[in-house]
Amino acid sequence: MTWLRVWLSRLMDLVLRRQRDDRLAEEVDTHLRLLTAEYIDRGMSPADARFAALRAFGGVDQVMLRHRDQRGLPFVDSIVQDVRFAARLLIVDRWFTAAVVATLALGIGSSTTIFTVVNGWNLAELPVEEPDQIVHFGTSDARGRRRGVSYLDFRAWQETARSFSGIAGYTSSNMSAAVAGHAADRVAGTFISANGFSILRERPVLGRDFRPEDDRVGAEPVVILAHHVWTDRFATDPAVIGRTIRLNGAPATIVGVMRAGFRFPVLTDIWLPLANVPGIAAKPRDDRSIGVFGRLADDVTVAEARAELSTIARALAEQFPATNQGFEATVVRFTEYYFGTLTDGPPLIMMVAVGFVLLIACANAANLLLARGASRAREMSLRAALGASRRRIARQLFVESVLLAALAGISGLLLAWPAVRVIAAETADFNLPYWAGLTFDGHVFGFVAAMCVGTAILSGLAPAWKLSETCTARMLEDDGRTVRVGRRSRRLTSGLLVGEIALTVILLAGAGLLIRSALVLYEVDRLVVTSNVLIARITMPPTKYGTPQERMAFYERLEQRLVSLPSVTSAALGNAPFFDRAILTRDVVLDNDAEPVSAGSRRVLTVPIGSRYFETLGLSLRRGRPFGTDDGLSGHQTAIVNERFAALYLTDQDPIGRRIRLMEEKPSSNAAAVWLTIVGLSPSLRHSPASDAGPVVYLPLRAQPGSTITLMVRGTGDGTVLAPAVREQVRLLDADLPLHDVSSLERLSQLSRWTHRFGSSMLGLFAGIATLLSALGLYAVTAYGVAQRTSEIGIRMALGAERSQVTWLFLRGTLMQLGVGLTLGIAGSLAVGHLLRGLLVQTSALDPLTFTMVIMLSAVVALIACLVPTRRASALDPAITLRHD
Amino acid sequence: MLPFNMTRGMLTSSFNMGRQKSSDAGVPRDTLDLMVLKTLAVMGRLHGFAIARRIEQVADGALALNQGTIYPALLRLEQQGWIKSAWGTSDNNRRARFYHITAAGRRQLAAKTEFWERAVSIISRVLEQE
Repeated sequence: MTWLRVWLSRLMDLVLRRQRDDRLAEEVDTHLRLLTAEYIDRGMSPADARFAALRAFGGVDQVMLRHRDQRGLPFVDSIVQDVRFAARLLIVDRWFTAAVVATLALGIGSSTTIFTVVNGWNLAELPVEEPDQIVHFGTSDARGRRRGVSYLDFRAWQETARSFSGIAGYTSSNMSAAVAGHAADRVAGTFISANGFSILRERPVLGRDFRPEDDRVGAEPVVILAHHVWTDRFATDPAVIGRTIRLNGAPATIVGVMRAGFRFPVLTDIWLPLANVPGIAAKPRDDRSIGVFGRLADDVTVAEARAELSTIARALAEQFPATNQGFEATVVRFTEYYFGTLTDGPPLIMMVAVGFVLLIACANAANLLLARGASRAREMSLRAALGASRRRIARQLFVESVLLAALAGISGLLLAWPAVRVIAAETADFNLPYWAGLTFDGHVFGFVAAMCVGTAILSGLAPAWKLSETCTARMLEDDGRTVRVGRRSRRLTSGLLVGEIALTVILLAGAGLLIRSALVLYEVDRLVVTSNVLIARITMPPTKYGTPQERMAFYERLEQRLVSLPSVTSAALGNAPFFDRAILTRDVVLDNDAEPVSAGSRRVLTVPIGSRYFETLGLSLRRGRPFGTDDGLSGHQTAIVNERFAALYLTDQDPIGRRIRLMEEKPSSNAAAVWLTIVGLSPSLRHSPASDAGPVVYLPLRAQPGSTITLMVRGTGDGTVLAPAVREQVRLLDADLPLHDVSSLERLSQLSRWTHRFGSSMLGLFAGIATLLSALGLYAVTAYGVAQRTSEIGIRMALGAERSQVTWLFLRGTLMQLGVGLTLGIAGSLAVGHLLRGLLVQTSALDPLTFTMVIMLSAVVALIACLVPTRRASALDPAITLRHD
Repeated sequence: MLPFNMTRGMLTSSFNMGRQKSSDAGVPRDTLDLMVLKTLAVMGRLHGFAIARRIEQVADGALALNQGTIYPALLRLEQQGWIKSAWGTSDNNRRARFYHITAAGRRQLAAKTEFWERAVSIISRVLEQE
């Protein structure tokens, strides 16, 4: 253990240094005094005695030095020394420091922003015990589309699956909640199996959990509240347990309250047992509307669970071929279900783009360090001559880089903070789960620290090593200031610049493509006058409005009332609002089809709409007429198609009067599929988020009145002003009907284009930063090169060279770098282009217009960056430049 | 002197970034440590000057010791817990730092003494064979 003592003693020296130094000085002084006295006794003169004493003692300074090295941690001492020197240098060379810190800060700031977003969403974890074990189940059909799980299948899995310590089902629904004496409120409800909370290892903080007896059809309805509901609506009254609450008109007893902040799965206000879902026991096996989650048993991996579930799904498919044929079970980590994995489209694109920006920033910083370092060649030679090893000199330079990186890290964090705030504000109404959020947590700080170290190494190590390469005698002979940068160093700089240009070109190309796609989407949406339209949704509880006729009657009455409101120009109902997901796709058969249509070959979206649908959107049909009061009734089976449909399937013949038939999913019921007559041709609108307009068949609402309907109300002024009036009208018709998802058409349009807007603005920003950094880098390197060769320029001009010839001297090099960089960049964009494929709309990944513009932009920027310093140099009077040395 | 490496010596030398292991006078640092320990064991409490003087006396002029090198050696021994130091007054009423050996130091001395004696006897036997 002696080495431990030694180490501790050395560590203590950091604190006790002064004291120990003094002590040694005193001891040495005493020693010398005694020696001198001895020599005096022997008969020497005091002066001689002193000299003799010093000689006998040996070098005092060496002893002190040896003592100090033995005493403390010389390594730490020299690092501290390096840091002090570097700090002083950074303060003296203020502009240089600012340039490098700004460059690196842009890189670190943008990557921190993206990391915070990725960390807050894709890497978020459920705040429960061992969240990695929680998985989400689903099914995928024969065509690979993701679907939910049917109740019967869910029960089958619950009974037979062994890989899980528990499986529970859930489904969410908005409902109206009323407590005695208060008006009804809209709440987000989740129906969950009785074992759901215990799978999550959560327990109510008040009252009790659901019991298996509660989760049976016909049991007394009970509910558990979310904590904020208890504090807001019940004033944290402990007597809330046992009180009655009316949900959608039906009474239920409150039995528990969950802990603060818990709102599983997304933003739930109230939980009910799964059996309370109306009609759930009678739902057929192919009604796949339940979500299912579970906890993996200990030591079971997701892959193993997936395998077991596949076997079970296959067994079910054999047992019930009519409903389960071709359906596979999917198992993913719970959070993956919501945000996808890191390697899906947008997160990956963002991370790659920001990685490029970081690389460019590091290359720039490296070039700046190299440029400045060359002017310190004399200092380096001096250090070498005084005995510093190459490693020591390189370490000194590296410490400077580390210090710069640390400053850049702090600045980067300061840059990222407002950026993250902006993104958080933009996505505030996305209804993101309670367990995902954008905050600066430990992970983010760790990331910044890692970035600092990484950028220090990337940008500092190579220059440090290069610059510590000294040829001492030669360096000191020349006037150190005009030392030529070595050829290898120049090549490194050149290489870095080429790399920067290439990466910038890739970013510019990507940004260009995405911006074009975003603009295409925007143009499509601009057909619709999106301002002044209120959007809201109603869910019709099946207990009161079980049949299509009951629902249709309600919708007709509601539409009449809405239209008659003052300041309402038009109102319409539709099954899926504009921009939103219309999940009903069918195959369509044309009246002149000779052969039967194979499944999947002619897909269309089907959207049931009310009669004033297009009018409310501010559109007029291209041909034909909109739906009237008779459409949809027997004998009047009609449809309206959009232009995309006509272009694809009717090859631009007049669609009016043609007949089509929509094929069901199940071939058996196709005999009953009715022939529809096309009565109108509409413009092409988008009915899916983040994608282009496809072929759509609009049906009269009467043909398919769904249980969730969207209201569109256009007013004379701002649409949201109409909200209270609309709510009132709904309430007059039925007091217990929840009106939810109130928004405006404009907002919906923005939301549906959010991926493209976010992607293109982020990528555009990164491309802009990259261009700026590359331009600055090119400028700095050219300016430095010019400064170095000032005397050469002077000589050339004195010998008769024209300004243009001198300019060409430097331009030549830049053009070469530009050429190589552009080539690599274009090649790289082609390679990386497939990443964007999922997001491109009507734009090919090889879009020539985009690439041409990118090349032109890069060339112009590069030429300006190169020409400015060169022209300035060639404008100098040779007489002055020759005397520059 | 045959270079018998002692691990502790290796450790302390690595702290010094590979500087020479021996002191200026050509006395390996480990031997100097041993001499200091022995001196203190025999003489009790001494200050730095006295230790250096005593070592020179005992070596009878065979060692040309740079007296200053005693101080790093004393530091080393103190760091390893084999000697302890305290302020005191010297004969001529000056303030001086006095060193004395500890129990651990005595044990170390005994171990090292045995080691050296064994080494010497082995070498003698090797050299005596004809």
